[in-house]
Amino acid sequence: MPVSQHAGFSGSAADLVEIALTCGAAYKLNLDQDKTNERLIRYYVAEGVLDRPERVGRDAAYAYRHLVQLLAARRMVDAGMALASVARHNQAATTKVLEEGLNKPLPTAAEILVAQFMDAGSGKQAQVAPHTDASRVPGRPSPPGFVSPRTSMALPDVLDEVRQIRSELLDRVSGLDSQLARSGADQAAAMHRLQHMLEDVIRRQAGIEQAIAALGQRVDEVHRGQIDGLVDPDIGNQGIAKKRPQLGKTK
Amino acid sequence: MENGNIANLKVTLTPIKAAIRSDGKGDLDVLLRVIAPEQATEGNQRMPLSLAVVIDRSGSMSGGKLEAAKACALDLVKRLQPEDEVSVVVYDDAVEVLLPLAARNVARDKLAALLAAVSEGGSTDLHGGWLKGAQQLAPRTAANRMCRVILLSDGQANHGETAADRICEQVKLLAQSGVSTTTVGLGEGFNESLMTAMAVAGQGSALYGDRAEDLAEPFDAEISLLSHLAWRDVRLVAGSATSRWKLRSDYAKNAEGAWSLPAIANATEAWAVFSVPMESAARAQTRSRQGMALHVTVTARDKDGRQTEVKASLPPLPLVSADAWSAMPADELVCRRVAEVRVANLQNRAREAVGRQDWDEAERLLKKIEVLATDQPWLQETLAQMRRLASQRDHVRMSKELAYASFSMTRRLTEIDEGGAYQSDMESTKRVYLRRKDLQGRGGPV
Repeated sequence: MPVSQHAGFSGSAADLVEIALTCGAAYKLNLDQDKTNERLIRYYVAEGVLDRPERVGRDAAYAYRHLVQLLAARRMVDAGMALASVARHNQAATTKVLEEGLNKPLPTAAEILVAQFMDAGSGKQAQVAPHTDASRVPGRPSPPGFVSPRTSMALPDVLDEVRQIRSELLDRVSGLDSQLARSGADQAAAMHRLQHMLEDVIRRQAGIEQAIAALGQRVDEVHRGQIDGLVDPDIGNQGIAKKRPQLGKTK
Repeated sequence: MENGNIANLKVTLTPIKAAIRSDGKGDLDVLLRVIAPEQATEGNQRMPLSLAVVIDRSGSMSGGKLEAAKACALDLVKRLQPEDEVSVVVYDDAVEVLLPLAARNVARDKLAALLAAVSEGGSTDLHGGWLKGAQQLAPRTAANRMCRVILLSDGQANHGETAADRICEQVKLLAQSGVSTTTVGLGEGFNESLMTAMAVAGQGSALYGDRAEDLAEPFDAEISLLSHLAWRDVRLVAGSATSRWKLRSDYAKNAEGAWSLPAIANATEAWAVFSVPMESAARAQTRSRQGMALHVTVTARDKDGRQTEVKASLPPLPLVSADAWSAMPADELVCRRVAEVRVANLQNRAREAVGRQDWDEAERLLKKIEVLATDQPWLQETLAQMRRLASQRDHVRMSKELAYASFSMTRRLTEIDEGGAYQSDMESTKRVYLRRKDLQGRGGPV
């Protein structure tokens, strides 16, 4: 089914995966649920391959652009292109260009560079700046609410990252379960290892929960204007004060 | 010397003397040569070309320069082979794809009429013109072709992106992705440091014509070179137990730490000079299991896109006393190349001095060049021309001559085993891209 049939798409990561799986065949993409899943979506968002989703409350809402970006990314990755190049391409190209590209031969590395440089020349540098950790990719809508002056990460992002870590840890545990089921000989040793890792996971999970709680509390405090001593050396009190009015506008 | 020799590509490393000074004083210079031996060509088969000729049509191109550029573009198309492709882009402050990338036969039929309608216009969006040319070629990088933008300009980049470092960064990234760039400067008004830097970044040639009638030769040299290419994507990786080796030629380095050498024509060699302090050379040898102070790997693609890898290493060298070292004979070719690289550095510094019109400093640097040029006829001829321009206080032309001489002295392809003798009438019997010139901007002997 061609992707354009879903032009009005809006949904969760799970919805995005489901539709991508049904569209893949139309573009000779061999997508399967083992590889194309919600974890991949989160990973692609973190790597800048997909735009950051809109937030609806605590949930992420993906749109048609994400669907097209996902299919385009799978094609380029299958062709052996580096993920950073794919990210640059997906950020620089319009949804229409990406959609049309699905029916064309894959772009060469040189074509991706040219597209990037042409964008830079037309004053859209921000969209093609390299994606680095702990920095918001410019050009994306800034989520409302608390923004850390040091990492430029907004609270919804922090919570999202934490959720990702938690889900990865849970994946690891379930992976260990199946590993254990397979090994007959060294079960005692494996049991022991698993015990350790589980403890580790539980410990980290508890830490994460605490961090979330503390962050939430902090935001509430800032929101109520109770912390006057919170000064970032680079920004000063004024910077924080300026941010305050935005807090009420959280969607 | 220990050589790598696979599939018609030969790599050698030759030290200036076959020993290391035990007192650790001075530098050890080593010449790297990447040689493409003369090959009997089967029929007319060579690397297929995809070229974008990007022509400046800003107001300053009036007075015969634009007409000369058009003639060069037409001549270039005539000399292509049926499987080649060409695109023509013209730019002033606006950029126009005059001829989208087309097969040679299509270009031959259409181009003259298209060019006839082109006249001089406004300012110079040099970057925009270059990028449009690159855009025409970018899809063809996947097709085992030699893709090259030939950018012609007679002016300063004064419209669109004008920052030299940003332009060169883009040129470099595209060259590493398969679209190389050659620049051709024309007249007195162009920015020679930008144009040579673009050619360095673009893994192409830097050429220049002094007057409209001097434009034909650089174009001739470029098309002749492209018609004889045997190897492209030539990459060099060096390894050693010391990190103190320096490559004295300014070849661009990619993110993986490989240097890009120029594409190599049939029966020519590309080369580079490595230097390391003697004490580090000795230490690197001791630390290396095979007793090698330096080893290199060169990779390159042939006309069918097949990649070849050739390795070479410096053989273990004995440690000798300072006196014994002085008494040893030096390799003549290595001496000459080391002198050329040193002269090129001095020429660059002299160019900066000439730019400031600091003639005393320029003269001091020319004196240093004079010392290095002893017994080197070509360097002496070049120096004589520089002195003539200096005596006329012609800072515009001298700056250009110095920029292009410096480029040529560190990056030119040479004949295999090129000799030290130099006579300009002998040079004219060589293929045009192999000729050493005493004046870079003039088509023939002055």
